[in-house]
Amino acid sequence: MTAFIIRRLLYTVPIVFGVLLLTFVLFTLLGGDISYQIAGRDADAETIAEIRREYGLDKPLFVGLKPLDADDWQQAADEALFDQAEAALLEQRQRDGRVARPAEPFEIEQEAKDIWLAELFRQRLGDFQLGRAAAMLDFDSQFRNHFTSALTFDFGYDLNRERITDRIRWGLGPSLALTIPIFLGTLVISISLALIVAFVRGSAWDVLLVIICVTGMSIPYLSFIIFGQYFFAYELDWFPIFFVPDRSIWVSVALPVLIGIAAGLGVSLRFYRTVMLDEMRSDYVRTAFAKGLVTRTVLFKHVLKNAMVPIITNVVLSIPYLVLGSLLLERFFGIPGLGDMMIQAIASRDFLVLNAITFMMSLLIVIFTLLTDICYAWVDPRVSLE
Amino acid sequence: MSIIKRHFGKARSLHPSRSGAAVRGLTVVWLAALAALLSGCEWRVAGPDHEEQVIRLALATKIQTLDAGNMRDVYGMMVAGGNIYETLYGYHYLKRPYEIIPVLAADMPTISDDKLTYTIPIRRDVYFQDDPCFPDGNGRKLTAHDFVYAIKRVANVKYRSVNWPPYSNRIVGLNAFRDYTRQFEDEWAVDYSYDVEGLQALDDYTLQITLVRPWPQLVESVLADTATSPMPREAVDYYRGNIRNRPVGTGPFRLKNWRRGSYLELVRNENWRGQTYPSEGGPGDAEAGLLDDAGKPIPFADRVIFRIIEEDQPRWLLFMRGELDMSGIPKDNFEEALGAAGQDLTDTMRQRDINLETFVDPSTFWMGFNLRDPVLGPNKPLRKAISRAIDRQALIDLLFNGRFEIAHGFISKGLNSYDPDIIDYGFSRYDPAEARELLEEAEAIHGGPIGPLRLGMPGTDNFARQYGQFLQKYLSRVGLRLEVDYMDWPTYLSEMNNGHLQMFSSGVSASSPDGISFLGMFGTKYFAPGGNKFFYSNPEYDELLEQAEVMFDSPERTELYRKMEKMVMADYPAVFTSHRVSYALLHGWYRNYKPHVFSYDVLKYRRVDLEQRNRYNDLLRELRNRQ
Repeated sequence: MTAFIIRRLLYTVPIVFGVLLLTFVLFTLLGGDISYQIAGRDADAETIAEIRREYGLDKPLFVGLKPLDADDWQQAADEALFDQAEAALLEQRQRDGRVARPAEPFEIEQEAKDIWLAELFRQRLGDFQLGRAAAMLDFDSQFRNHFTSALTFDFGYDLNRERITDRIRWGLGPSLALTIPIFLGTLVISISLALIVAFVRGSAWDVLLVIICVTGMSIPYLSFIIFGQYFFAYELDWFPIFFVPDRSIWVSVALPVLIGIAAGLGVSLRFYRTVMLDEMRSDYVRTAFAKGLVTRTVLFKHVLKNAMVPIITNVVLSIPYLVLGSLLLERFFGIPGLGDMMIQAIASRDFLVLNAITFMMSLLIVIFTLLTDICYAWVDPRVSLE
Repeated sequence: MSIIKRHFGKARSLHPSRSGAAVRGLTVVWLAALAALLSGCEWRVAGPDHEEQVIRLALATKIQTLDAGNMRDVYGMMVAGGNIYETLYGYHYLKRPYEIIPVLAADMPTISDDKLTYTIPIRRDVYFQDDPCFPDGNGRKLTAHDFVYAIKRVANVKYRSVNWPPYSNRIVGLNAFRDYTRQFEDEWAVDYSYDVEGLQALDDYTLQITLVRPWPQLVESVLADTATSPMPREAVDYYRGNIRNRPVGTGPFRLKNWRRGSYLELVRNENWRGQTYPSEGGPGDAEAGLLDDAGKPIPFADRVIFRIIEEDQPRWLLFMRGELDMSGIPKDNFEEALGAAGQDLTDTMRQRDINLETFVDPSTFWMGFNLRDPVLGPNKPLRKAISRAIDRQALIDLLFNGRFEIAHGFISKGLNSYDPDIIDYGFSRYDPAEARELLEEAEAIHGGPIGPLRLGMPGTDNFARQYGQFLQKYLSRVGLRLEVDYMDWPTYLSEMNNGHLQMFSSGVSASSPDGISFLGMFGTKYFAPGGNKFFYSNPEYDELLEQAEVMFDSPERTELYRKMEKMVMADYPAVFTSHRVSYALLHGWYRNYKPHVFSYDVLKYRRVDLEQRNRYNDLLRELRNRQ
């Protein structure tokens, strides 16, 4: 088993690297330049440049070029290469149909520097000065930052300059206060009901429950929330309508938990019913009843135990998602959790936050998938981990 | 029937006689779990806010920062502006037209004859709130040096303040200071002892500002703006990056709690110097009861709670339940509040003693043209045709419940220089027939049929799409094809500022009664990334703008503003669509409410009639019983 676990842990390395690469490419290419968003509508180019520096956006994406030493740089300045580069830049802008406004000096400087360095790099490659060319490569890049920040769990700052790790820490508790009761409630109720309907399968009760489940599955989650909030909190006044400051979090999550359970029960019950039915049709169940075992023993000791493999798969793989909270419930009930943080990040296109959460989720999924495999061996002697 | 009876009457169980025990056992487990959850029902206990003056408000989005120097979002200002922070000058709460009054200044500024030097006396009885950033935890006295520091901080390029643009090239030596800060690694490394000639604390209680050229809006636009609120250097050095969460001000309230994304709680600042409710107001204020509290000490509220509620439904339900003192009207509840005609409060509102306040919120929205675009720039008939093709009233009715007003010019109602006669010029007339004629002329200039036009729309949500589709429909009616690019905000800003958008949907709100910021949107010197996103350039207009920018308020200036407005309108740099009209619903217990569109310094005047508020639940029960 140890070898299996080590092997699986090693598999996580390329998976995590792949996730990081994918998120970087997606968020960098599709995300737009966040510096404009942070700087505001009429910000000057200088402020935007400072923000780009602050967030490391002035660095190359993967690999850049750096001057070898100050002499090279001085040489370029002496030879007025900057002016040439600036002229080339303006020409390039005109060709692109962009506004050929006079560029700010600091803005040009970076681009001029890039153009000049690229030219120098090309020259050195052309002259087979491979060592000198290689020494020009600068790996202090946006991707390296992305990679190291993920591996050190220091995700830096969001668009509002709030530390992302702090935000995750603040949001975790409220999210779990909401999702763990929903998860456990749904699990207990759906497995219990599944056992019963599997036991009375084909009866009108079974049909009725299936109809209720399908109906529940067909109703959008949002409808459960809107109706639940309006009816139970506003009309009946049984629960607070919204998060209550200065009171225990449990007061505020009671209604969202009930709504979450009600909304998720249909899918869950249908799944567990199928699992239980598969088991109830097995020979060993008939044998157990034939031997005269009481129903409780057959259901809980034999059927439930043998149904554990699919149950464990479903349960353990659901656990990472508990961390994420519930996007809509948190938003409608003002629960300051990670779901609300996610939806906020999506709305404001805060890819720094989304990236952090995506990475953490991928890591949790990898870990819990491994745990699932280990649990298989634990509950089912037929499974061995090799 | 027999089928139903058969199925419901007897479950097809393998061992029916023994299944009952298992079902009973499971039922007990469920009921226990349900009881545990329903224990949340005992939530409505008499909290301290039943006896305390607590103002309860909602914010529709999260707060980005409470650091005065970098605060620009409306909701941050609502929380901190005037409540936690104070400015040198502010607006009288009741008087209209709006009147500037000293707040932290002891008097109005003395202005030199050349209008370049402002000497401002500072009050001597102002203390910062108590905070651990001070050596003994006690707030120290405010001095003129704090204002110097606050403005220099905004100029510090490493601080990256969003509030810098208005200061650029205005105060003698401030741009040089900004250049000087470039050499430092971060904002805290900057040496603030660097002398700025135009920004001097002559002594602890005298501030002197020297301008590069006259700046008539200095007092109302800048010295009354939260960005210039004094910030103790000790706090910035103590909290560093965390200062955004730990505001330290001189205002009547201080921040007690800020649960991110959930709520903020302000409590009275014990160090506040005190003030009384105004005894003078505008016409009709006495009749409206707005002077009933004249001369009483303020603030009335012991606490203010802002709950962050981003969805309309919970915000509306909380308001109707009486857990918020005031609310806007969500689009979906408009009919419930004001009926189908949208004119007057419904019985549902009246029975609950809910009042309505409507007011023009000086702002203008438009679909702008990039005048550097080779299709739109040289083709005024095309721009005019597009303007004629849009039915602005239909737009307002459909997308804004008829609440906005048509923009006949770009200087909004509510500003001093608003021209009530501009409607007569018909710049915003809807006339599809004329649009078609103009289009023929435009095609002749263009040298053939006009290809599809492209509009950059900020936002990808339903509203943006409805807006885009509306414009597409109306332009297609006159034979123009419009393609809409729905963009995220950073992409939109970047594309617009770089002049890459052919057309763009945008708008602006006024922060002071002077319309100069609206006029500046068309000055060549303010090309994007400045305020002129249209790349509108007219030498004659630029010349007038130079004059207008240094003129102090006078009938001549108003005339000049109006002339300049018409000059721009006649060039059709945009389809100006609407001015916003705000609707606010207030519970009867929320007293002393008078809309103020230029100041956030209002909560200290507001009061809650506790007796009336505490009766509200009985009223709701009574109404329910009546039904």
